[in-house]
Amino acid sequence: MKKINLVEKTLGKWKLWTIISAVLIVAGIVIACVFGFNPAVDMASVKTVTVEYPYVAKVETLESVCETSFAESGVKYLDKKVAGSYTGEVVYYFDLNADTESAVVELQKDLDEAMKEGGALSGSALIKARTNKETFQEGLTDGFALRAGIALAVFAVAAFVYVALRYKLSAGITMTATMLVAIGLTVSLTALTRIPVSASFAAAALVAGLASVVMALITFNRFRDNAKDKEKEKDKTSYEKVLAAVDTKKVLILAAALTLALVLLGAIVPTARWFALAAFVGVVSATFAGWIFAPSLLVVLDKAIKPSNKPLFKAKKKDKKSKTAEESVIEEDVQA
Amino acid sequence: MGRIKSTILMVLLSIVIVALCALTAFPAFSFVDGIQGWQPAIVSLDAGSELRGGYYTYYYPQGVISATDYQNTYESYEDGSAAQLDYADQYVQYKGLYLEKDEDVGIFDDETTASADNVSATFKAEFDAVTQEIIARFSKKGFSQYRVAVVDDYALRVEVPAPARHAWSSEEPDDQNSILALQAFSELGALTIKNGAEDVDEFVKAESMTDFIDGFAVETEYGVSYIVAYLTGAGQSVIGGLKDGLSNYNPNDTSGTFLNFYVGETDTALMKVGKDNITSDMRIRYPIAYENNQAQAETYGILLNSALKTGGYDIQFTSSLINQTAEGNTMTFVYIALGAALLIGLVLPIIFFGKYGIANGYSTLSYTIIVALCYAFITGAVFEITLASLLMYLVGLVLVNLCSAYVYVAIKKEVDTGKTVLSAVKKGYNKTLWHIIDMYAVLLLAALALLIAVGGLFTLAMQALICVIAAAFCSLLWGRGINYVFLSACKDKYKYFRFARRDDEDEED
Repeated sequence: MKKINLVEKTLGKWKLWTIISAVLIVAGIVIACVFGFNPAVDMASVKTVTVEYPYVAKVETLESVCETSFAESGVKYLDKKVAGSYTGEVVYYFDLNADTESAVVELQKDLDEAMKEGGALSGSALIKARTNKETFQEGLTDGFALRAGIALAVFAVAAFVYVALRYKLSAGITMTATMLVAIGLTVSLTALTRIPVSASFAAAALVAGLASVVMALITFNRFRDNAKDKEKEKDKTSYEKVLAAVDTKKVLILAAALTLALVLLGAIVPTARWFALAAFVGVVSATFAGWIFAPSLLVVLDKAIKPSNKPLFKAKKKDKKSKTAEESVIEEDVQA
Repeated sequence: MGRIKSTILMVLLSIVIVALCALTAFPAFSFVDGIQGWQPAIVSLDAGSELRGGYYTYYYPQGVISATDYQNTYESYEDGSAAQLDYADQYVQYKGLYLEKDEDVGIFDDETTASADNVSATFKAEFDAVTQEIIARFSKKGFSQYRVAVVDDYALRVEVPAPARHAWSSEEPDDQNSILALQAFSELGALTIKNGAEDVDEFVKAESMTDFIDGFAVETEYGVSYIVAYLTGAGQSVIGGLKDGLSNYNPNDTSGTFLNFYVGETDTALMKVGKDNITSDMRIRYPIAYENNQAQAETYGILLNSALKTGGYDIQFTSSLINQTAEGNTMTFVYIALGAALLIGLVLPIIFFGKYGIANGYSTLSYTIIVALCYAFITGAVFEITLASLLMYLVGLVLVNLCSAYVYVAIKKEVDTGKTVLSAVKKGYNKTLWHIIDMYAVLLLAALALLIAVGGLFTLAMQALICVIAAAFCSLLWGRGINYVFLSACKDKYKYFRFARRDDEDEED
């Protein structure tokens, strides 16, 4: 596949990508510090309307009565949870600004009406609605953020060491920076776009980091393979080498496959929508980091660390064709 | 490998894969007697609250009731009766709650002036402290997700996952870990230790039990979990003096003398420590004799430590009924989404790569089976399936298929240079081997590093380990093996890969 011109145009502009990434990340951090993340219902302070029922023939009918009443009162619920079948309660979650006090008065009237003979809930009794304000306190395990940060740092160091040993020092640095940019952008863009986040959001950010690492490795692999042809590569600049190494097709196929998986998850599973959207932001961030940012940075680092830019560790492989003179003499002696 | 041998191996592989798929995903064969209750492994997944709902309960301080409870009792009296008015006079409405006026309850300083605006400052401060303690208890429990919220300033609502479902029977879910935590953590009393039914003078006179106990920990050995109490010098001295009078540990013994540990005003001891539970180095090492007892031991350990450090509170909670939110159709939707992803992972390679795509399908199915079985059977009180787990499975699925495509492209390149198919396959695999190893190695490092994390991320780390190892196995070993078997069984190697045969070339057999 012919390389998309975009890579050629973007490759030398590492400063621009670094500035854009830094601005977005800082903006996201500022927004997150000032306003916090937009929490999903499970992690937010909400108003609730709880409808308790000692007995109903059909919970769906009760839900229908409640939801019609809410619609008439002009309040829109964010989520609902049904606990129990014939006996139990339905909890509706509302925004803190919703006028649930008035809505619950109307709801109780509608429920009383529905419980009468001939009503939708006839045969049921003592169905009571109440409203409360729930102030969210905590939903994360003790030390969650600290330990997550330590885990990320350990991974960054381990991955850097591995890639620097297996590829080049410049590749190690590039990969670590790429991963941090992908995770930083995911977190920042989620804060900026106000996508509701739950505890699972950490996984979306993590997958962004991993996807960016895989994308960067695709470039590094080709970079290393190309370098084996020393004759062909010796006159090339770092820019040309990296340009030849960027495998746009593979990177975009990976991004597309991950996006397809997220679309399926988000479109089919109702509780996964916001999570899938946050993870999609992660895939976009990873694609930027792995496809645009990483090669740009690699050009600069490959150039800057050139004198010592050799693999730190390379398994010695004997090539029959390139025997040393000394080995040839020994072989001839043996044959003689 | 000969073609006949390969064909036989192919058939055997197919049978094994189909059988494992049935074990993993397909519903029971109800027409066969004896396995009517059999269910696929994925039904036994321990799902988190985003997927299978959760348990929740309300903690009401003594003297605080919900509006519904108030209304139900109020309406149980005859309208306008003295009893009804008397009942109404006992409470003050505060938002969606009703607060008892009685000064002895402690919510108001003076019942004659009790109103929503003058709740006792002491009660407010105490409630805030208790809320923080409850949060601390649940945050230490390590649930993948949980939620503690203050309801109308003076009650708490706590929600934890309802993860488990019996795989092999139609019994109610066995979620002891979740239910026990909701029940146990509402207890706000002090830690007391009695010698049998008798108080111990030293403990009664002491200002704090921390004079005798440094703390509690949980240890697991040979599948049995123990609560371990570390004693101070004073504690060793007192308990050492009592040791000889104790009976040997026996949870069914009701007549023996044990060192009983209580939290709060209750007759049920959390630990009935026998003589043999006190080690030679003067620690108490008490076994919790239940299935999945690590989770139970952890819950008791957290409760005992909390009661030990705080010394108990004046506020006592009344826990409402524990409700379980209905699962709804979420898991069905999850299966549909994953099924669709799997189908795409099976069909697309066949469309693009022909019979090589079929071999890849076996690899994809193998990955799914390994992950599903590991998710289902390594879960007992270890981890729950959350949205993050599903994402991790999908990432692995994508990687298995992309690695396969990567190898295909490498083989095609070799064939284009004029190599025969067999040597192109060998060369293609060799050329991509280290690329794929490097990728999985870095992903494995990520999964291992994540083991440092706690809560949902620790859970994710274990699931990531399963997915990365399974995907690496399928990409690097299993998939290649299957491909060789299928290729050997195939007469036309070019057709197998959908490569155009060059006329000037003889195909090797």
